[in-house]
Parts: sequence; structure tokens; C-alpha cells
Amino acid sequence: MQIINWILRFLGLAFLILFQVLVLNKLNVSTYIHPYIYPMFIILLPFETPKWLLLPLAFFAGLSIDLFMVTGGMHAAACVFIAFIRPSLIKFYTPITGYENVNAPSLSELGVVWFSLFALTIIFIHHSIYFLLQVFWMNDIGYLLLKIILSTIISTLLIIIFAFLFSKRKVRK
Amino acid sequence: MRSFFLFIIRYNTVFLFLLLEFISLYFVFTYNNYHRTFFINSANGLTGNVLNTYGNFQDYFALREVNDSLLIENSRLRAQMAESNKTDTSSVYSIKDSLGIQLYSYIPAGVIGNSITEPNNFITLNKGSNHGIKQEMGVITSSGIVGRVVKVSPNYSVVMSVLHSQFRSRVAVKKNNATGRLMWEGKSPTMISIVEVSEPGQLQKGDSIITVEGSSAVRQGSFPPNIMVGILEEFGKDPGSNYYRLDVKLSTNFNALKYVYVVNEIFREERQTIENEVINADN
Repeated sequence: MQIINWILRFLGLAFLILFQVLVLNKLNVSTYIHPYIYPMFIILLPFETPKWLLLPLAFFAGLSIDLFMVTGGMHAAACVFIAFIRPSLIKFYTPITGYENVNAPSLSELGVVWFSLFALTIIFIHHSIYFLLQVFWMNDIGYLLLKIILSTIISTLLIIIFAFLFSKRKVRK
Repeated sequence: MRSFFLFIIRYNTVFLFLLLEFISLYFVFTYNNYHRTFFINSANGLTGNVLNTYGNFQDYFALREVNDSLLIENSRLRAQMAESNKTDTSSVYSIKDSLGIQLYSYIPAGVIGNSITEPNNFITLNKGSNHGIKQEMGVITSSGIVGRVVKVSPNYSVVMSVLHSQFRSRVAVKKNNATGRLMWEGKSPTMISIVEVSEPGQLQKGDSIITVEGSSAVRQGSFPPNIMVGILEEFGKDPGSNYYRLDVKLSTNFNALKYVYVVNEIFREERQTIENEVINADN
């Protein structure tokens, strides 16, 4: 059961990477809007994933996007950072009832509000680091902030939509 | 010693975190010197293949536009043929070379990867060193300039787009040959700036901007002369300097790039050798 779960997770990651590279990166909506949804893989990992596993997994996810996008290690750096602070964030967002019988962040079991807040925080941190690294040579702070905020909003919305689709499928089973 | 190991074990995740961040940032900063990227590159096997397959699918949806652009180009070329011109010897002259020796040849290639909204954009082409593409070659399309080849593998090559913060090239205003340096500031994929224009002369909105042959020591763009760059939109004095800056609307539509021509300057090596000899003797 555990192994099947992990295989599904990696299939999910492969799907997210392909969706990112073949759909989102081709959209070219504006220089301000750059949604990245693959951090969803890190968001959805089980709560009790040990840290020593969490960090390399995030590194791997980030690096595979970097390979496609020719961005050096920018995504990997942002991913490793969100993986590092994820356990503290989970502790910070503990619901009043605790995480009883829930083994991974999910929309259906923890509610839309919890999931959205958690995803929003992680995506915001990820995008801030990524865009900061990306525009290293630029000192236009207004442009950078607007880009981070707009992209974070779009990415989080997309992730919530994906989470809805995913949890529906699970219920049907 | 024992306590040292205990310390490492106790904070193992912090060390792991720092190690992975260090590796990532190392990639980021070596990437900046784009010549030193060894394997993080979409020219490598797997990613190149995925992009290529996707490009093959996508081609079908763009056939109409591709046909249109080829028709337009064909008609333009036909207009340049000898039969389409009146034979008036006094007005016939060769732009390239008075002896009629070919200076440039063109390798057609398909675009399989392209971005326009990043601060540093790259284009992946489906041809590489097997087809004669080499580093530093210029890339153009029927409507204007595209970029410069920065990395080549046997079957793919990666082009630094004009829409890249490090792309530089010398360009000129067509009507009075006032030259300047082209650079992209990262905000709009349709606009580009030309800086360090010292003597702009009489300018008008709508003037054409074209490429010029690069000067020897700072030779950066490998474009043939007289390739269209764009149309002048705005101009003014750069605050704090004696130079002018021009805002130019690019003639190349980077959003709809499907096929490009890689420019092969036939005498490039000979020219570079002799130029370098002079520069080295000078130093």
C-alpha cells in the first residue's frame, strides 16, 4: 500500500513536470505571470516523511524542472528551502483538532481553508526565492514584488484546482 | 572527536539542507557564465527528445501560419530574382562583395523550445553540429534577428534569444547609419532598447533599425548586415550622459517563432585569425 502510494506520487510528479514544461511554460501570458505548480509534489508529501528524505526529494523535483527550463539550479534552491521549512509550517498550521488520522495534506480531509493557506504560504516562499534568484541583476523592486504576488495567486489557484480533481478521483474509488 | 560526530548527527538535516542549497546555488552561478554549463542544458538527450516530440505535435496546429510566412518569403525572394528586375547595369551592384564571392550561407532549423517571458530566454533548435551549426553563429528569421547560438550538441543547439539580459549586438538606424548597442531590459517581449547612440541625427518615429557588421575587437553579433531589427518607437537623451537611447519595436514575433535560419559566415575563421593576430601583437 505504502509502495503503491509512493509510485502514484512519482507518477504525479512526472505529470506535474510535463504539465509545467509543455503547458504552463508555453502560455507566455505576461512577464508578470509565471505560474509554477510542480511544488505541489512537495506540498502533498506525507506528514511523517523524514527530513533527510524530504530534502533530496525536493532537490530532485527542482532539478528536473531546471533541466527543462535551462535555469541552472534556481528551482532546486527554492524547492530545497521550502522542503526545509515545511515541517515548521505544518506545526504552525496545526488545526485545533490536530492531525488525527490524516497522514498527508489533503483538500478533502483538512478542508479548503487549511489547504489553501498551507499551499499559499509554501508557494509564496518558493516564488519569492525563485524570482529573487532569477532577477538578481535587476533592482526594480516594484516589478519583482508584483511578479511574485501575481504569480503566487495564479499558481495557488491552479494547485487548488488540481487538488480538487485529484481528491474527487479518490472518493470515487 | 566523538562529540563532533554527535553534533553532525544531531543537526544532520541542517547540514543536508546547506549542502543541497550550496549545490543548487553553485549551478545557478556557473550557469550565469553560459559557456561553462556542462550538463544543465536543454540540448542534452532526454529533455531535447521530449521537446522535439512535443514540437512535432504542435507543428500541425501551426501549418497555416507557417505556410503563410513561407509564401510571403517566397514572394519576397522571387522579387529579388534577376527575372523580376529590369536589367539596368548602372543600378546593379552587389551588397555583399564586389567579386561575387559568397560570404554567408544559411542553415534552416526548426524551433522546438522557446520562451519569451523569462528575464533570460533561450531557444532550442532541432539541428546541431551534425548539420554544420557552430557556437557563436547568428540566428535570423524571415522578419528579423533572433539570437546567437551558445551551445551545440550533435542534433540540437541552444540559442541565446535577443530577449536575454546578456545579449548584445551593434545595430544602426538605416537612414543615417547612427550606430548603438542593442540590449533587452526584460519587461516586454516586443520592445528592445538601443543605448549609447552618440550622434542620432534627425530621427523619426517609424525609422527602420538594421544590423551592421560588427567591429573587430568587440565583435559580438554574427549577423549579416542589413537584417531588420525593428521600428523606432521613441527616443530621447539618456539622463546623466551625452548618449541617446532609442526604444524599438522588434520586427521578429518571438511568440510565433517556428522556423529560423542559422547564419554561417564562411570566412569567419580566417577573419578572426587575422584579427586576433593584430590584437595580440598590439598587446
